[in-house]
Amino acid sequence: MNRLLRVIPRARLLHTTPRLYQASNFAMPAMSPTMTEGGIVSWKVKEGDEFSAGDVILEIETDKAQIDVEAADDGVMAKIYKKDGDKDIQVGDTIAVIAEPGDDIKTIDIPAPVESDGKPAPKEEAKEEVKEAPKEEAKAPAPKAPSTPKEAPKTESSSAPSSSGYSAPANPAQTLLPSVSSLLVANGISKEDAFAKIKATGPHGRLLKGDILAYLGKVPEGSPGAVADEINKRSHLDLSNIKPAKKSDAAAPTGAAKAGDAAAPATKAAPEPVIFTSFLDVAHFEPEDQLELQRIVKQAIKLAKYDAVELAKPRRSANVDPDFEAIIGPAKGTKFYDVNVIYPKSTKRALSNGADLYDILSDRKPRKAAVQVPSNTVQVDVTVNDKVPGAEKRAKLFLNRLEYHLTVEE
Amino acid sequence: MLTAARRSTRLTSRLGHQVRAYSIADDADKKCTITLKEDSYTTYMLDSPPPLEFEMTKGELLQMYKDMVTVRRLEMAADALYKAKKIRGFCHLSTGQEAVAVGIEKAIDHDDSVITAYRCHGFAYMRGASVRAIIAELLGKRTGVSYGKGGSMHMFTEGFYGGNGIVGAQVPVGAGLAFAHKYLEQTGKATFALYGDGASNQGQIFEAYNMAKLWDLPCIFACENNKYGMGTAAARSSALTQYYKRGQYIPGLKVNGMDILSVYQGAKFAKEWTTHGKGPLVMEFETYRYGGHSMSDPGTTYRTREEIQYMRSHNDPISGLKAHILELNFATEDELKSVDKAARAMVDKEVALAESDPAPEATAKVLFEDIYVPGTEPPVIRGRIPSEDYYFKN
Repeated sequence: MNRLLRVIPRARLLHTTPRLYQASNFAMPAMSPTMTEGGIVSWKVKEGDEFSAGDVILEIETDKAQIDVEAADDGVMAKIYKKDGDKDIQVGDTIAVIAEPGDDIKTIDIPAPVESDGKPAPKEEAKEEVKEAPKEEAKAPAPKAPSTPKEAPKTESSSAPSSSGYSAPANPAQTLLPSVSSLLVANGISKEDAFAKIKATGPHGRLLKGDILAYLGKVPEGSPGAVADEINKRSHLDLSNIKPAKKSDAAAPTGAAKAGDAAAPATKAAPEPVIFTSFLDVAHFEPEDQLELQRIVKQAIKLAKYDAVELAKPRRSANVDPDFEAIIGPAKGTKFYDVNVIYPKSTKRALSNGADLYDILSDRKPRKAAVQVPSNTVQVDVTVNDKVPGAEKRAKLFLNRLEYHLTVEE
Repeated sequence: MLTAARRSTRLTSRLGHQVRAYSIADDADKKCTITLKEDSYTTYMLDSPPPLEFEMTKGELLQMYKDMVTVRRLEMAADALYKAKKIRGFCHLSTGQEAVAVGIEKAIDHDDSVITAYRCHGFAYMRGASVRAIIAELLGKRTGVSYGKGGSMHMFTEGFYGGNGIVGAQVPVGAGLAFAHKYLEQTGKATFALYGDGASNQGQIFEAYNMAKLWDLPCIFACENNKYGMGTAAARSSALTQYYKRGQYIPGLKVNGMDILSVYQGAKFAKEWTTHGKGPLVMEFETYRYGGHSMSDPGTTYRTREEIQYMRSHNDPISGLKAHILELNFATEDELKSVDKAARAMVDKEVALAESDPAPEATAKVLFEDIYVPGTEPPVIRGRIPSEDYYFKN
């Protein structure tokens, strides 16, 4: 074995290999697996400088970082092609020539610079083409999908999109589905027979359970084909019947509304505005001072409005896309309701005549007409903007929260 | 794995890649006495360190030198090819650690087993793979040691159970190899299970220690401590950086891994120890890698460039052996330089051959072969989708 030869040295080493290089091209290195090109920040050695392995000979920059390039070996910088500050140099392009230590850089042969794809740098167009040609050839067979050694029927691809029932001869190189396999065994059909006799409606000549059942006569003969057709039809999203909305439809309100502004809503037999009225007992606040009461109520309204917005938000769900909701919802700044507060005229205490919030929330008419505001209650009128869907709900939420905020600090 | 290793050896010999049979000196048998430095070894639970004085021949020394230079050239060629984007994927180089691979190989026989982690190019070369086969493997060529399917981490030859990609996972496998030697009563065969300082904190290594000691397996757990794991100094990741003491109940030996003669003598001692029924041994080769952990690590973010240059200029294993050879007057500076050049020319030639080797055919047959030992394949192997299923022709 050559191992033996290796261990027992025989003749004095007189090495006859011609010196392969006196100088060699130094190519733009890929300092990371993703680097394709880079620039030279600065050379740390000049032409004629000697360096030893591990010394930094230049600094390069990529789109990610600046990296020092170390010398792999001792050497002399014979020639520098790409100067400091050069940019977008492809990995593999010759950027310098390095000689071995001790070489006289003035007399050595300098190899021709090479570009990244292995071409010599001189632009010889004719040669380029010759080089390209075999590359193309070599590439061509590569993307071939690994095919099964057994005669994979060519028909599978051609017949797959054919119209009639999707049935094709079964592909003999398939692994049978468990359902199919057991059905075949149960009915005493051999695999070979099945491949030969049963038409397959699955993709690429795959036998499906329905095919076997149809073959056995347990389902109508045409049904597997019909199912396959249906699946094929429905497996593609057909967007052909969708048309963009006409501009005129969307633009109509702006143009025509000016004139028919009054007319358009009028035709809808202008419904009476919905007003919820709430009497809130504020006796416990002991509002000696009107301003103090107003401040508290205003604060409560603010909080309640905020709460109503929060509570009206759709639940967090995979089916709810906030962007989509924003698009279909009312425009920003749309008012859902107007709030009007009537404060008691005097701060003199009086018995509450018990406006029941339940009535208000259950949408029942208040039992008393809200003309006279009892001195210890605040009347809140909420006028619902009926043009906005969901406004009524929002208004009720608001009232509910307002009551909460005015009682919670008890 | 066995089959793959056997077949790849056959492949390399068939292609006639082995160009290492050129000789070094007429008086190769000329003997000399080597005296190692006192601090070459540190022991743990060992009565005495390996003898510091021993005999070697001129031929052995020169061969060691040549092999180390070749391994370094091989790694530099891999580095250059990687930076030219011809090698893709994983690539871990052992520049600076050559003394470990070469020294161990010189101390053991071809019958012994070696298993290591992914920094394996040097070991693969020393265990018989040619430079062409290794580079072709890195390039993904059909002529590679693993038919271009293994890449940098997965190289196998006879008696070399790989490059292994999973950190530390090769150590229990190595214990298993040692167990096989013991079970089959192959006395005199030892197993070197190598791992890095980063891997030494893996739990499975301690499991392997336990079984190896329990059954007195002829296994040498050899930690290549190159001082840095992936991006971190050993002291920042290990509670005990005296890796030779990690065996607790297993004797340990720390070796200066930057001196190939210490490695050689230490590995020889270890083999002697384990094959004479004394059970396993934990070794630590203190070494240094000049490059980054892998190709995507510049290797200068967690240590200074000055430190690397200091190690290169003061502790380089090749320069160290060169000094020895010059001191013994076995060769002149020029002769050693010509060895350097010959090694470089050889590697360049082999790299050129590997580069010109054809890429594997893009067929299903090539893709699915070598998964099973021939003759034991199931009828079908599944692809990603049913139409990619591969049917073996039996």
